[in-house]
Amino acid sequence: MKNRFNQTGMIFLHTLRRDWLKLLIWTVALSLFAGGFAKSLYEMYGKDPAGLVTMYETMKNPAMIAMLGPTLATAKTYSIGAMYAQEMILFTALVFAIVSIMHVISRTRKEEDDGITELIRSFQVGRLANTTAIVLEMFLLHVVIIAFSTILLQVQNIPGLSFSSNLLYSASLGAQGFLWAMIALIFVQLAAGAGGARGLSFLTIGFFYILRMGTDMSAPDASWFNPLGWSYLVNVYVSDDWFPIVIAFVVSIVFLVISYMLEQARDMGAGYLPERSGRDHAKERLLSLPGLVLRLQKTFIISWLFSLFIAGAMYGSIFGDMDDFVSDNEIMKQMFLHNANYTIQEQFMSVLFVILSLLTTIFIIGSLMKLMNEEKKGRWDQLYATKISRAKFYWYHVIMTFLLGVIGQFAAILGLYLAQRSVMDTPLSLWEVSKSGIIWLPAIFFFIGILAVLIGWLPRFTVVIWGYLIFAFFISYFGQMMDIPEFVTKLDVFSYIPKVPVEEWKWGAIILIKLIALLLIVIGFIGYKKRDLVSE
Amino acid sequence: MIIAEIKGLQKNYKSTPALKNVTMELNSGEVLGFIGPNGAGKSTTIRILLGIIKSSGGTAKIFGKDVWKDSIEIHKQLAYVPGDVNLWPNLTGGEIIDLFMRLQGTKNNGRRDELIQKFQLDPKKKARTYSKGNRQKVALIAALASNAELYIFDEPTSGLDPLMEAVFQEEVEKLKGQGKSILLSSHILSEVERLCDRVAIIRQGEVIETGTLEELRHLTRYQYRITTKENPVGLKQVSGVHDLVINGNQAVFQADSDRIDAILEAIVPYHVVKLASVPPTLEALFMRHYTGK
Repeated sequence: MKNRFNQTGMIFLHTLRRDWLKLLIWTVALSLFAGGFAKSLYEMYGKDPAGLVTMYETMKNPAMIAMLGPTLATAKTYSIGAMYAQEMILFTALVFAIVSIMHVISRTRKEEDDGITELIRSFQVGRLANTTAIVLEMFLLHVVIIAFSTILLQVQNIPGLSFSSNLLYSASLGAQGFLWAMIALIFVQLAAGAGGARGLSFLTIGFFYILRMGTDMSAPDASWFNPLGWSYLVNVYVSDDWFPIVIAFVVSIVFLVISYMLEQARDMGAGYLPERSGRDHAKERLLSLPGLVLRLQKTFIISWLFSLFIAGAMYGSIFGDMDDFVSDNEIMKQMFLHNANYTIQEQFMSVLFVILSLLTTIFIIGSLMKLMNEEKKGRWDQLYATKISRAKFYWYHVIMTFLLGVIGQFAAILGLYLAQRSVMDTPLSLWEVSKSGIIWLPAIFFFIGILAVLIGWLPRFTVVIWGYLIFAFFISYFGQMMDIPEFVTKLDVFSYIPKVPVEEWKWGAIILIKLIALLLIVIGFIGYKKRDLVSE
Repeated sequence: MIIAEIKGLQKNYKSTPALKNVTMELNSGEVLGFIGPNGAGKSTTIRILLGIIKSSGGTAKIFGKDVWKDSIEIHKQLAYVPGDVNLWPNLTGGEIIDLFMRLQGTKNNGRRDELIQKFQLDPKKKARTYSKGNRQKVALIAALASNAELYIFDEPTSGLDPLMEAVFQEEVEKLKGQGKSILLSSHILSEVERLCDRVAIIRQGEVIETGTLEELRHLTRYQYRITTKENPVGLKQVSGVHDLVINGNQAVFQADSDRIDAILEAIVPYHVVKLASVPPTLEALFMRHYTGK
């Protein structure tokens, strides 16, 4: 028995040494995510009891419950804490779960696929040592995050948020993170490779998320049988129930034991589920460069379009309650009623599209970046040795990215339009929503231009584009609240775009930015055509 | 007819030279072995020939066209197997073979299926499950099934087992029979010895020797084994004799090819009973070039 765990401690230390930076970043990021927004939500809605009542009504909207989960509080017990938990807990649990799944699989099955495990096992290392080390690592990570998140909530010192409730809130998220790590571990044993394990884990989480959309409305008790349900069932800040956490922990241990048994009984590199065999010959539509590129990005594109649509719909679904909400809330009144020519929805929408456009930008940067990633991984080498020219490689990718930018933006527009149409008495027309959305396309194209120049001239530094995106995000999000010098704001291309409909449509700026984007793309092409291919 | 002509090719990365002077020719219908240790510049040369990277100096032409400017024209007649075959993990081997063949410009499903069978590849598996050898097979099948004039193989058999290696050699001989030209970079010397008409040896970015195996052998030493009636101690004084080991009446040594005359004269007085000479193996050639022995 002992042999199976031989050298676990050593592997554990080695894992920490490899991952310390990653762990540090996650600890900070996840703790902030879990506990960081309490103060601002309190400032906005919590100070005024009337605001909380309106929020309670807003959050009873089926669309909100479908996305963010239910609350067990009543209108009377809907405190700032109850609101915070309802808005945050399920969504944050999802983020925790995704991080856990990705990390566990990359440290177990991925290494097995890469042949690293084989080498490790040839030493005096027990069969279950690596898995156990990762389990310890995940446990430690979540304990630390629980501590940090609790402290973070505590120091914000918000009336009504007690220490024990803060601890419960953080613990329920930590428990979700650990639980999903164990679920991923089972799929690590079952699947035939890391890709399969990842796919199955996400399928499972998606399944339970959608399942609870249905049961939260019609049969709330069914959430007790849903792992994701164990997050909001703690009913934190209302009646503080630790029982779901006990369930989550016990189930985690059971899953761990099952995973151990499965791992014991299987050969290294093998799985229980048969690898589905694929086609022995390619379909006609794969057999061209555009066909190949589309195929390689298929999952990426579909999931992003879906996410953008959902993001648009999330924002759209709150349009209905906005009037009540703003009239009840002093801060909101100040924010939105300064322009009487437009409805609150229109004002809100003009700001919203900054965020949605930034999301679309992430999407298209990710897509165009694949041109570079494939090159670095050496997968273009063999295609470059065929009659396909570099011009084709470049322009196919750039043009596809352009189209994806347009389609992505329309996915968000459509989501927003459909959602607000279902909740508003006099909904905005598709054209009104579209105008507000498509005005941002030049800024999105500008990002393609910058990345194109990097790909053409500085292929090893393409990650710089993410820095610029974070900068743009920061300026757009916080720019108005903080005192940022104008010349800095002017470096953000998003600042040149008029916020339609509140601001006037400006053809000049739009055309100019488009032209600059085009020019950048041509400059990028000149570099791309004459440079060496790079490899990692 | 000259298929590939490379003269004084150079490549510098920042200021460090990767290629200093690569000069060689590949004639029509010929198999040129391109040998050298890791890091000598084989792959760099090949990547320049393919227009994947740009040379810093010198000229390289294939079919009389510049490898950088006219790469697309050249690629229409070329098939390539890289040393490190990287495939898309979520496509199957069969899909990738079809893709490569289509992009190369060939449609020959009969030949493709024959090669899949010969190399014993399961084309239905996703590329992420393939071992190095299987990934190489995917690239090899696509290249060998293509109808090209010039084939460039960069260490194509480094992951294959001996049986598959034999299949590869058989296929290359077939191509040679059809009058195709082949550039074969390798450090499996027996393979080069069997397949190649001529050899170019590269060391530290410089081609230091080119020629047929016969020509190269002349540049180096044959090994001699003699048995005499008396102890041939006199050999110790003869210049051109290397690595001499005398064991009673037997002696083993290597001799410079231009000193044979003097050496023979020196051993005659000891009454030669038996004399055998062994041509140097490619390995010996190789070792001599790299270690100076």
